[in-house]
Amino acid sequence: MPPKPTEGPPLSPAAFHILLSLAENEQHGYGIIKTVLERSSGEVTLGPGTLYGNLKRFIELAWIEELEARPAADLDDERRRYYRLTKHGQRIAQLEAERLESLVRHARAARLLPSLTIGTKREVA
Amino acid sequence: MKLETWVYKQALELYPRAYRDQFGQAMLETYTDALKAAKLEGKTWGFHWNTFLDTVKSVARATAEVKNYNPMARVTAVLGLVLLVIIVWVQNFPSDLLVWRLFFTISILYCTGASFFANCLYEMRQKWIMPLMLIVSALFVFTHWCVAMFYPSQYANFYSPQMNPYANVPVLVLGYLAKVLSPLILVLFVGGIALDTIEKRKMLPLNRFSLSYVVLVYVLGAIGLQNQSVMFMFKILATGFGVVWFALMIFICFRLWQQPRASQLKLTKP
Repeated sequence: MPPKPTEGPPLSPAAFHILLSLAENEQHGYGIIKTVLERSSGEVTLGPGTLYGNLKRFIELAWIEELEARPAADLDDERRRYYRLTKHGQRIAQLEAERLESLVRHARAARLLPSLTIGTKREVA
Repeated sequence: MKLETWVYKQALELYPRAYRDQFGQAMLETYTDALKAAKLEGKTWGFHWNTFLDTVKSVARATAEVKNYNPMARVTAVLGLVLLVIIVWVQNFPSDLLVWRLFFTISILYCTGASFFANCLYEMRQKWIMPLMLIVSALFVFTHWCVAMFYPSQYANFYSPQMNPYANVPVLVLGYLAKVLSPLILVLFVGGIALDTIEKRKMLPLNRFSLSYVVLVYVLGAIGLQNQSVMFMFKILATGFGVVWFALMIFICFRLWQQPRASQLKLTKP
């Protein structure tokens, strides 16, 4: 049973994007900014202030942790501080994803989105 | 160092101390990487505008989240402002309220109310607030010392030019300087004392000394106005304190100058 989140969904778009980036692999600050920018097709631009404000909060809430071990030498950049999602953070991201999925389901039911039919599965993320 | 990076480094000074210590370096590195990318894409103006907004928002948020402000100072801030109004009224009220004027001026409640603001300033700009405090307090104490030494009988009425027969231009300039600087210096060094006490640090020698000096000037000055022998003692002590005070100030400024500052974050080579 994961620990009951003291703070959790709904998350801000920036917070969810950061957790989503770290769910894929461990990353450093600028790496997160680039991933979020690419994934959102340039719609979500994180500045250093917003990014590290969120990272600080996530560390305090034990959603993420800073890596002590460095990545492989060829991938490593000694200036960087790398972060990864904890199990608790993973659970929070999952809860938020489920919440968004539920919203999309309601949007489909209200015919705001086309309904999914077998064979024409669409990505809703 | 490029101008943009220098400006961003200065902006990092606005973050609370603990925040800056934890993430300042990483933020600076991230900023320079993002700046390079923005330059390659030719989107520097948009990047600078977004960074400006981002910094303003995150500084405000980070400052609001600081938990170790003195809670008592928050409460006394309102009380301090009320007292400030009373002090201004009493100081400008042409009557025989001499002792009360002096009493109110040195009122510790006035100081604690104002210490809230010093608290915020100290937390946000720890490194440069100390030299500033030294310089401003030097001006303040020097001004009071000059007035107390040269115009002792008019000292209490000094802030009311209409009651001061020596109210020539230099005296008035000094007077107004003291009037403007008094609240500021009280805010700054009493804030420092409050913080030293709250954080259970050893009180800065300058703070301890400044406080005793100001109390001496006000209390002995007030008594000395009624008694000539006390006034003589006051002059001797005030001069001695003043000399030691300035020596101490120069020493502390020198020590502070040698300390590392948050603005000395350095970009490491990749």
